[in-house]
Amino acid sequence: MSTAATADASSSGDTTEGSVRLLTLQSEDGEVFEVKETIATQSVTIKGMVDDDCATSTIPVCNVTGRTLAMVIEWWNKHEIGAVSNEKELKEWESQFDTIDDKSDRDDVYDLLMAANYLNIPTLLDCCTSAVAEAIKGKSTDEMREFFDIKSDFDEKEEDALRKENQWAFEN
Amino acid sequence: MSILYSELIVDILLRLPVKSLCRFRCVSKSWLVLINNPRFVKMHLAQTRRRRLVVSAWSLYSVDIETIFSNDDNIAAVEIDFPRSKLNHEIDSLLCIGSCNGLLCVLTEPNDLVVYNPCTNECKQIPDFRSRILYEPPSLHGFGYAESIDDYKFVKIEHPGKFVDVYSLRKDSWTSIQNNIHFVDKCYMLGIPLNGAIHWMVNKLEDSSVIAALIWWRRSSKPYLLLIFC
Repeated sequence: MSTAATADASSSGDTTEGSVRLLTLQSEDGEVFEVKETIATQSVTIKGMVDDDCATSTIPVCNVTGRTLAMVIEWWNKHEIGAVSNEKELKEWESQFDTIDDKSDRDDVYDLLMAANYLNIPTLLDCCTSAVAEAIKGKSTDEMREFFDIKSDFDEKEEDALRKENQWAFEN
Repeated sequence: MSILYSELIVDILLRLPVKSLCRFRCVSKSWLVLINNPRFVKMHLAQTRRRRLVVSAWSLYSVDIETIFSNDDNIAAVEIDFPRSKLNHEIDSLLCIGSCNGLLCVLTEPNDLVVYNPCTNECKQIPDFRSRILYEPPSLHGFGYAESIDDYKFVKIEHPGKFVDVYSLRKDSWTSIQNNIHFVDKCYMLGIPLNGAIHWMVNKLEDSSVIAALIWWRRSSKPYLLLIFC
């Protein structure tokens, strides 16, 4: 590993800090982040690139903005394998996803979800998916259409019949 | 705002309780198709962590299994709100005679049989059952899931076992097959559904020896009856 790191260090965009190798990630909107390899490999996609020796230059992270990528990196830092993380602090940080009724919160979680999916980060994907599920489980059908930006394609008659069939699910 | 990929929407919906899903069938046609899709239903079932025990004593009661294991004194049995009004006959009492993958096979006395999903409150009456009384003569019966053909089956073998009657939920009809192994008349027994087969322990008619009988389905709806001598 150490020899590989030294050899790779000569190529552009790749630096080492002590014995820890740094990877350079570039967001869709051009922001550049240097991240420890040990942390970034929480992404299965990036881990694959590292394993295949394809992570020697700047890694473009398409479809993810700098703002979202910064959030992803914050997640990685909090969930670093082997890091002594304070359970309580971690829970507190995760709890920001508990309430995503606010539109901007929702958009943040959406962006994180897309990033977690693109970079294949199972723990983050799991956390965001659960957060959305928790936020929507009590919603009405109209609220759901608004939340997911869906237009109903039922005509009135069809919807009435379907509601009747599932009547119990509309009761408290 | 990003528009979520459909695979992510599926992931989110898989985490919702059944009640929310039933309500969200009305969101749009594509959601209706998705939520009713048998593959989605199976995936949802597979990741359900909440396990419940159903107790039947005149009515049906549901007990959260975790509360039993936790040695908690507050084990609560909640009466299940069985949709009596959906069936067009009077019901004296309810007896659960089998369950599989969250579906219950319920005898609604006097002598009707329904397949009931307590999560969605959906109920399906098994036809032509009135004439097929369970206790007289004694019979083997069981409710199980035939995974190979993705169908739920109710099986009834009346003493002495000349015929095996099988109801298919998918086809909503009965078939009857002949059987040469006969059982003693004291066999009134619920079969145990496991690994796509229904199992019983019975005494053979000729010599009263104990055998295990199991019925299962390969890739066709024709059932196989297998006897294992103990």
